[in-house]
Amino acid sequence: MELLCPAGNLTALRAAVDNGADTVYIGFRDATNARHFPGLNFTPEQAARGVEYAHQRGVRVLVAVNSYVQAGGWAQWQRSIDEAARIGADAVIVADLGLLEYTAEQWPDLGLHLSVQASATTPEALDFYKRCYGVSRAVLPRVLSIQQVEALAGDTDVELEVFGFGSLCVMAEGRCLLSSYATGESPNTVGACSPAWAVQWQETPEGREARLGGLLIDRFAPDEPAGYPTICKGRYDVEGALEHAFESPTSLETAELLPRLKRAGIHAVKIEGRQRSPAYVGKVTRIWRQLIDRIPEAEGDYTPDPAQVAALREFSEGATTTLGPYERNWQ
Amino acid sequence: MKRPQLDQALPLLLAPLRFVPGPVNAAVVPALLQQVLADALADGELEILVDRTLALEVTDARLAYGFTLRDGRLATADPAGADVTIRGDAAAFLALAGGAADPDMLFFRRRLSVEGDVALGLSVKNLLESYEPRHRLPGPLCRALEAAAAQVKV
Repeated sequence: MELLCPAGNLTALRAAVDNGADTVYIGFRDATNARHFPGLNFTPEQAARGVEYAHQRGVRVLVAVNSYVQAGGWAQWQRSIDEAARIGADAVIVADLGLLEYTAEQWPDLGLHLSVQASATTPEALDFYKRCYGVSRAVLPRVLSIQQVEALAGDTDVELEVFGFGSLCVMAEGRCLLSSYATGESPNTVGACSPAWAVQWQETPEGREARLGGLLIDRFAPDEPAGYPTICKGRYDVEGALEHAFESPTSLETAELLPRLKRAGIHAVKIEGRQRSPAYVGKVTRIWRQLIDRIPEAEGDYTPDPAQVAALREFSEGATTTLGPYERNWQ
Repeated sequence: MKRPQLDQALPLLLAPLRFVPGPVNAAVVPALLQQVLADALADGELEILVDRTLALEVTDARLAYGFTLRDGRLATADPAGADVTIRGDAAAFLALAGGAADPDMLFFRRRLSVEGDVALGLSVKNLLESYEPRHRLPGPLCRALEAAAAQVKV
């Protein structure tokens, strides 16, 4: 299985390459990708240097152009596709139908992957993207159980990529407008669930208060582990009970599923976190390289190295991990 | 859990810095930063600090520094009126400076806090990660910093 690792700058890209990534995925410095934060991401020149560094070491580079083209924004999104092709990226990761068609027509030699933001979960949908635009791979949204992933893998000849580790999205991936409620912006429109300008942290005697667009979304007790300031991970008063109404701050961690994913024919495992530091990228990449290289061939009970699992948990939101939807057997 | 020795000693080791006179800080600190952030300065990436102040507070050593960009050069500023303040303990800052820890992780674990203009704080965080100022230090100093950073428990 292929290991895909995130990079928000050249230093992180080198950390991914040096620690065993097969592929690194990146984005440009604008709203055309779903990790749009101040000071993060690549100028076309930096991206070109990253591609050169990776290719010299046999590592592929993908460019995420995976937010949706906004009214009046076609030129900007088209430019990101053109730049990705110009710098020699191996593929682009796209969700918007107009961009998929444009890429297929203008850059037939550029690989085309379907972003998780397109939220395709059926063989029919995958076949549509393949037939119409030559999409060779799809990233599955983090909404399917392991049984559903296995069934889908048996029913399609599009390569499948799944998330293995990192921050978790609630179950409306690619169709989520929750943050618009507080900020007027969302990952699909400007590339961020919690745009930095709308975030406010306040350390009070009662604990850390997190606000998005002026709305109080959580208050963490003094020693309580915290998470990112997204609406979906806030705590709300629901009929008198103060609770995580959507999702608690936690990270996806699927090491124990690796043998099943491999047997199912899943082509690639993706690590989330283009917004994270080179230290995170280097360490998480190194651990996942070892996990993937040591997947047992034989069926049977499998327990990943507890030390590695513990090391991964250190990096997690809320300092906890979950199998997320993979283990939701009721689906 | 008992923290390893270096962590405990750090605030004490740094404590004397509290008594460095302001004018000395104003001369020495920016000169040091100017050195390690030379690439970022040359690329214009520090323009985000024009007319803006970033404060760093080392809570357990009771140190606070404010930085701004004045006439194209880094300068100290009053941390009390900062646009954004990043607070953390000495071990957390050491781990960050030595490239041993992920700032988001430290933030989740409450070892770091950010108050004020989050966009400015995030810009500076991303800039430091991108340029890794420790690599502009003399080789042995950089390696010593990395070794010390790897030792602290964060």
